[in-house]
Amino acid sequence: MTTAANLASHGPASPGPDAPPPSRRPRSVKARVIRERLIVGLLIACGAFTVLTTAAIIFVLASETFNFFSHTMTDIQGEEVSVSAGDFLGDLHWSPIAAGNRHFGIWPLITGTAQVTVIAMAFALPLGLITAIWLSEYASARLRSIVKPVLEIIAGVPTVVFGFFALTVITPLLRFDFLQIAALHPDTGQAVLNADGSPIMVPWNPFDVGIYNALAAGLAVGIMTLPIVTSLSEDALRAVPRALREGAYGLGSSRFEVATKVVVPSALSGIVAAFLLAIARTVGETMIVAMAAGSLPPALDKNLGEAFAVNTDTQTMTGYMVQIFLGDIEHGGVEYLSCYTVAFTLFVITLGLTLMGNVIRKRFQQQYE
Amino acid sequence: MATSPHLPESGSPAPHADKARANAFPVRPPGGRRTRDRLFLLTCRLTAVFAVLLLAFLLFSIAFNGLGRLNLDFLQDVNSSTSALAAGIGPALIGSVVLLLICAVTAIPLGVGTAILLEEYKPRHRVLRSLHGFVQLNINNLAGVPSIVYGILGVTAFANMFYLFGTFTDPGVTIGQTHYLEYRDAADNPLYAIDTGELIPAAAGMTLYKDTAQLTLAQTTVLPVAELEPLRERIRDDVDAIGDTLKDMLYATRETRRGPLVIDQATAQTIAAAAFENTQLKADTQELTDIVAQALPAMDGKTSREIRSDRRALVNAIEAAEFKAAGTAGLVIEGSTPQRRSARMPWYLQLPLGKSVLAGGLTLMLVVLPIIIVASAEAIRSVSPSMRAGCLALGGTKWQSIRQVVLPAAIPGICTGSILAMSRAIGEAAPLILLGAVFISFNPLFRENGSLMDSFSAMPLQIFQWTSEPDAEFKRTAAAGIIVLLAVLLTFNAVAVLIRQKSQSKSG
Repeated sequence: MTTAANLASHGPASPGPDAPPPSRRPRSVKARVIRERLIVGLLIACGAFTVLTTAAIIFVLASETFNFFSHTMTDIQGEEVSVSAGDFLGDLHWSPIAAGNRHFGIWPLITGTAQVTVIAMAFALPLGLITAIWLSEYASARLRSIVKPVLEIIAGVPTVVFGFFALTVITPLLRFDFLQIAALHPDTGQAVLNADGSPIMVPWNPFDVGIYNALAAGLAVGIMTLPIVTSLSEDALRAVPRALREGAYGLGSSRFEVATKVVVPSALSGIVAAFLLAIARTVGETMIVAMAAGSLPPALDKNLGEAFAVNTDTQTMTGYMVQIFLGDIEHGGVEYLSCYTVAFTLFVITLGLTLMGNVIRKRFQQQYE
Repeated sequence: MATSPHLPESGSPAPHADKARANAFPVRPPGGRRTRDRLFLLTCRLTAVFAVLLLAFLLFSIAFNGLGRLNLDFLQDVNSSTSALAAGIGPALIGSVVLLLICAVTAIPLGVGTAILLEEYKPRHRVLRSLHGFVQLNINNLAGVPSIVYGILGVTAFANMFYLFGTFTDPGVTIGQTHYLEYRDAADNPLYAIDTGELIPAAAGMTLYKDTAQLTLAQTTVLPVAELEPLRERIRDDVDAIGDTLKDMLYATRETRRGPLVIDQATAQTIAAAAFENTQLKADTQELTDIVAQALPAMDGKTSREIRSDRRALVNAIEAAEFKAAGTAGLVIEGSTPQRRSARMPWYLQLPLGKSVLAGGLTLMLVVLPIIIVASAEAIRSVSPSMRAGCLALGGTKWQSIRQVVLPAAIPGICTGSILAMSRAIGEAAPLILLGAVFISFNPLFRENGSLMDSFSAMPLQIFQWTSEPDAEFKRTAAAGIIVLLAVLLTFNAVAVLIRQKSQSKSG
């Protein structure tokens, strides 16, 4: 027993053969067995806790969702509201706090989430993949040893910081009037002219970006997910066996060809898994959208242009929950229960994405073991 | 140009050979391939430069906005709803630290325990093995659950406890809380009795205490109402007379009608002596004269309005002294009804936990648990199997091999993972929106009666609130808060990197 301890201790002071014997008397075999069993029991309890967490999440969300659909609830004004699952999945309106005209169709919130996700991924996936290829196929070991920790630190920056960045830097940049147009008279609609006959020019931004908009929020979420995409994709690329690369080099391929025609296709499932995990993270992102995206989900019943406009307010599922929980809500009220239902929807979507990502990643890892 | 780590000479086959091959096979000319290679490398570098610039821009915008607001007061002050310049991050900073401690104390043992179970006790039986795989997949999925969902779980399972134990304001279970009845004596000092469940009016022969903590016995006599009123009237009259004299003499020192008082040591002495002349106080008038004479010079230069409350405090002190001298202090007035009060010990605990710092810390524990498990499992996996085998061969049990061989070797990795998990926890705002409060006017746990059941604020929560304010000055305050948060995070990361480097140099 003591020998084992010496073997493990990394300290310089390991007692020599003359050292006094340990004062502790060796335990009986029975006591040892009992202790081992007890410890295994404790460890199993630790492991069971994680399973219990998942079970608790599903139980809480599912039971309150059931209550949402089965009960007639009262809202803050005391008005009675009842919502069916058909309304939730079939209605194209989302107006949970408009008294007298409440609609609980989830699709506008899902569209809002999709807007932010698509913008974020359009930014983060290509850039992340390019950076990952560069890190794994081109960069020297020294450069990688600098870039990887920096990426880790950026991945650890709190999301409120990116939310602040979106609201105070990205949005003002998007709203910047970078063009000049002729000023129009408000009544006649004619251009207003100077004394010399030239039109008066005023600064103008053609995109008409609002103070809260999906674009700034999406870009900020994209910046936030960039290190995650890079790191996960790089892991996938580096897992490709060296022999594949060397074979390609031996046939005279350039590094670009090795990267795009050998490494990326071989690591494709790993990259797809990385993308799925990044998308799941984006869908669940809360603070950035709560700060920068506004609180009005897109209207789906008008025209497509309005439904998918990214220059105006939008609201995601997470943004709605923040909006409701920031106010004073009553337990069992319609606002309260609607949050659980939205959370359940969000949970199902992210769980599907992560489950798919993890299964694909596991397959990919086994492929090269 | 950076050379490939895999094949240093891959890009430079002899140009003649290239040309010969190009003639032999109608493929794209090698010049195009090399250009494409270079073009891609250029794209990569531009991307990297773009990313670095973006990061620099982010840091610059925060520093530009926030550095002006950053000072020692900002770290201590409480939040303000009206003035951004008066708002500080004090309670949020302390709240974050307490949350982090709770989170670390709960999450690290649970996480490391689970990691040991997953890595060291891999079962052989088919059913158990699939269970093992399920737990592993479950942990990976938990890592992908949005943190706001954990917030909802925290509200339901910790703050409200499924409404199994009543509500937060009327908790079903309390520990470390004592209830007592508070009586007031004639001089308005509190006296206490143990709560028996009903409010007992004061009566002769009661057992009363001077304080609740040590239960020091007070006199148990009760003052009959018949005796109280004349006594009270007499004392009030006497003290009011003294108060009037004081007021007149103080105002007489003014040079103009609204001017400031002019009091030096000598005048103070004269006024005090005059005030207690011709009174029939039972208290020691000499002692009272000294007290008044010492308090008066502080009023020098103030207007009559400014000293009003000081003067009243003096009169009250004289009244209390006189009540005491009259033998009524500690005597409860007969028939008076007590107030029911409760005292909370520092270890006060209740179920449900409510929107308390404990509920917040436990919720953050749920958020970071998967991260700690994954990092610890990786650290344990990287311990060489031969070390385990060595321990087992020497007769050690499974747990001995874990406790004395595997864990010491895996500690650096576990530490790094835990610190990174804690830096995730300290920046997490979404789950705390459901559990925290933004306006905390005191420092939780550092005040009297503070406990883990106090409401709390946290740095990211405060930054979120400040950013949401329309006032531009609040944005600056938010930036200053972000600087503090990032400074804490960088310290965490630096420690993690140091531990990693130290362990690498030791093993390498």
